[in-house]
Amino acid sequence: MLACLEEDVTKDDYEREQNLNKILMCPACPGESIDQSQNPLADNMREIVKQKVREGLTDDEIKQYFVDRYGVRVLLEPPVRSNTLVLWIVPPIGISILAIVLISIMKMKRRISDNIEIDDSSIE
Amino acid sequence: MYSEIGLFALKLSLILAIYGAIGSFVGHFKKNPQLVLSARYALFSVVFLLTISTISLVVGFVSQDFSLRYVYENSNLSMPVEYTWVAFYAGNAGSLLFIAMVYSILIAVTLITVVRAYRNLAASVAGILGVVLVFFLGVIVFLANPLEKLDYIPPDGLGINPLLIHFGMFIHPPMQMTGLISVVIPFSLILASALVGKPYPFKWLSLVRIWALISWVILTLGLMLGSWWAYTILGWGGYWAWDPVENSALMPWFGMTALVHSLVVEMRRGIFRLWNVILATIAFSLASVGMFINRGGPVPSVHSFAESSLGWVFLIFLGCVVLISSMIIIWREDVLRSHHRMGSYFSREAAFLLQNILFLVVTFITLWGTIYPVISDVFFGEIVSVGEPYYNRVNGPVLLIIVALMGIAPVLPWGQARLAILKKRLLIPALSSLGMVILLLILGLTQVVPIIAFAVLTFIVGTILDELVRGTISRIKRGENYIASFWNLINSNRTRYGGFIVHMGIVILAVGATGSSFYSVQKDFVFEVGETKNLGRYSFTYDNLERKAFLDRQEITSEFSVYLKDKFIANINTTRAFYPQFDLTSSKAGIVSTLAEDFYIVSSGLNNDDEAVFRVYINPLVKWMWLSGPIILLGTIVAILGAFFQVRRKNI
Repeated sequence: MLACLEEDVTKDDYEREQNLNKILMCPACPGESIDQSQNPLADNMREIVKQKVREGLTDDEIKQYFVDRYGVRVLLEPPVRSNTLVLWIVPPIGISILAIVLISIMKMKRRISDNIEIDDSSIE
Repeated sequence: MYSEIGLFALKLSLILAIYGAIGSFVGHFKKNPQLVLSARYALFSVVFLLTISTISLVVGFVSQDFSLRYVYENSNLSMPVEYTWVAFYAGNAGSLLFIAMVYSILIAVTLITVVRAYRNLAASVAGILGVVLVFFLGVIVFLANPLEKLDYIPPDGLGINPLLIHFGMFIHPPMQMTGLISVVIPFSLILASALVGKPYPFKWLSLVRIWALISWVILTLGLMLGSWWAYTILGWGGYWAWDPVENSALMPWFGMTALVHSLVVEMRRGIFRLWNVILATIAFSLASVGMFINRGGPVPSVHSFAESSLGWVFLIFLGCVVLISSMIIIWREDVLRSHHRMGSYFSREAAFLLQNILFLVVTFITLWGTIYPVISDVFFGEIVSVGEPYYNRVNGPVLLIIVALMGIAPVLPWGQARLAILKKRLLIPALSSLGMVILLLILGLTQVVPIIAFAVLTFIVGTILDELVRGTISRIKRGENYIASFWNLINSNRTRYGGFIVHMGIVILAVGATGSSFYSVQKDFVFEVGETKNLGRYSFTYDNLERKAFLDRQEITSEFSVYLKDKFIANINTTRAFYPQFDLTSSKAGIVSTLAEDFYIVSSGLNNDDEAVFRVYINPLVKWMWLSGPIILLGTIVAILGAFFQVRRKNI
C-alpha cells in the first residue's frame, strides 16, 4: 500500500483510478474510502474519478476537484500544509522527546546504580 | 416481572461492589481480615447477581418483550431467533452489562488465584478491581440501564444494524469486549504490588504474567475475528482499515504486547519494575480510551454501533485512572526503583526495551492520528480525515522495525552479548534471508518494501528454527530419540518456546498481511447472466441470479462457477441485501480460499434486470492470516502453562 501512493506517470489509467479511489473518502460514510464504500455517493464519485482520469487530469487536479466540493476532509491523508503540519510533525517530535527522556533516565540510573549483579541461577 | 428481578439484582450488585471496594481497602489498611474477607465475598456474589441481570435481559430479547426500552431499540420481530440470544450486546447499555458480567467473573477467578499464595496482596487487588467494577455498574445503573421500561408496549422494535446479523456477532464482540476489560486484571495486580510496596518473588511475577498473557491472547483473537468478519461481510475485499474504533482496540493490544515482554525482563533481570507499573497503567488507559471512542467518542467511525453520550463519563474515568496511578507511582517510586542496572545496550533486555519504546511510538502515532481530526476541528476550524494512507505511511515502517527486532532479540543473551557467538548464530538466518531475496527477484518481484518485509520474516523463521534445531540436536546427542528430544526441549522452557510459537504465528500473520496489501488485484466487471469473464489465471461464469424478499430485506444472490486455468474449482455465490428500514445495503462476498490466494467476488450493484456489476479481487496469502490465529493461541497456551507451573512450583 505504501508503494501505491507514490506518484508515477507511467501507471496506466486504471491503476491511477484505483489509487485515487483509495485515498478519497466517501463524505456520506466517514472513515471509508470510496473504493470500499457501497454508498451511492461513492459510486458517483468513482464514476467522476474515472471520467477525470480519462480526460487526462493529473491526480492533484482530481483531488483538488473533490476538495473544492467537499472540503479537505474528503482526503483520507491530509496534505502537508501549514495547518496540517502538526499532524505530520508531532510523531517525530514525540518520538525524539521520548527517546531523549528514556536515555537520560537510563544514564541517571547507571550513575546511581550500585553494581549489584543479581543471581540468575535460581531462575533458569 | 423477570425484568424487575434483573433490575433488583443489578442495583444490589452495585451496592455489593461498593462494599467490596471500600471494605477491601479499609480492611487492608486497618488490618482487619474479617472485613477483607466479607468484602471479597461481596465481590464474589456480584458474579451471581450480574448473571441474573444478564439472563433477564436475554429473556427480554428472546421473548421479544418490547416494553423494555433497550429491547425495543435493539431488536425487532424479523430478527432471526438465534440472534435474539446475542443481540443484547449489540447496543451501548447491554454491552456494558456484558462487560460488567464478564468482568465480575474475571475478578472472582483472579481473587481465587491471588488469595491462595498472597493473602496480604489480595485485599489491594480486590480493592482496585472493585473500584473499576463500581464504575461500570454505576454507569449501567444510573446512565445506561438496559432493563429500563417504556410506558407503553410498542408492536415492533427498531432492530439492529443489519451488518451485525452475521455469524461473527457470536464471537467477535464478546471476545473483543472481554479482551478490553481483561486488561484491568494485570493492571490491578501490578498496581496492587506497587501500592503494598514490598518486593515480591518470582512466583508473583509469574502470576502477573499469566494474566497478562490471557488478556493479550483474548485481545489478539478479538482483533483477528473482527478482521475476518470485516473481510467476509463488509464486502470491500480488505480486513483492516485503520478506522478509529479498530485503532482503539489495537492500541491496548500494543500496550499489552509491550507489557508481556517487559514483564519477562523484570522476572529475569530484576529491572524494569517501575517501567512495568507505568506500562500497565498505559495499557489500561488505552483500553479506557478504546471504550471512550467506541461510546460516543468524537471521531466518526463505521463502527458506531454502541454509540451513546457516555463519552464524557469514560473520559473522566480515564483521567482518574491516570491521576491515581501516577500518584501511587510517585509515592512508591523509591520502592519501585530497581537496584540492578541494565548490563549493556547490546543485550536481550536492551532489545526488549527498544521493543517497548517502539510499541509506545506506534501507539502514540495511532492515537495521534485517531484524535487529530478533533484537534484540527477545534484549533484550526478545519475538518480533516486521517485514514489508511496516513497510518500505512507512518506506522508501516515502525511496525516493520518491531517485526525485525523479533528476529534478533530472542537470540541475544541476557546481560551482555558477545559478537563472535552472535555472528555464528545469525549466519544461517542471514543466509536464508538473502536466499529469499534472490528467490523473490528471480520470481520477478520488483517492489522494494515487500521484498524487505519477506526477507525480515525469513530471517525470523531462520533464527527460531536454528534455535529449535540446535536444542533438539544437543538432546539427540545425549541419547534421546528425535520426537522425545523435541518434546522435551519445548517442555524444558515452556514460556520461552511458547513465545517462539507465538512469534511463528506473528510471522505467518505478517506474511499474509504483506502479500495481501502489496499484491492484491481488483477489477470491476459488468456482467449479464451466462457471460464468462477473466481476471489473471481465473475465469468465472455468471450462472444464475435469484431474488428473495424477506420481512426486513430484499436479497439478490448471484451464482458463479469459478475456473482456474480452465479447470473448474468451485461454485460460489455473492449476496447483496437491501434493508429499506435502515436504507442500508450489505454484500456478502463469495470466496474461494487457498493457501496461495483468495478469489473474492462481491456484488456491487444491479444496473437493470440482467446486468450487474461485480468486483473481483485476487488477494494473495490472506488465508495465512486466519491460520496464524490458532498458532498464536497454541503458543500462548504453552507459555501460560509454563508460567502456571512456575507458580505451582515451590521454593523459588
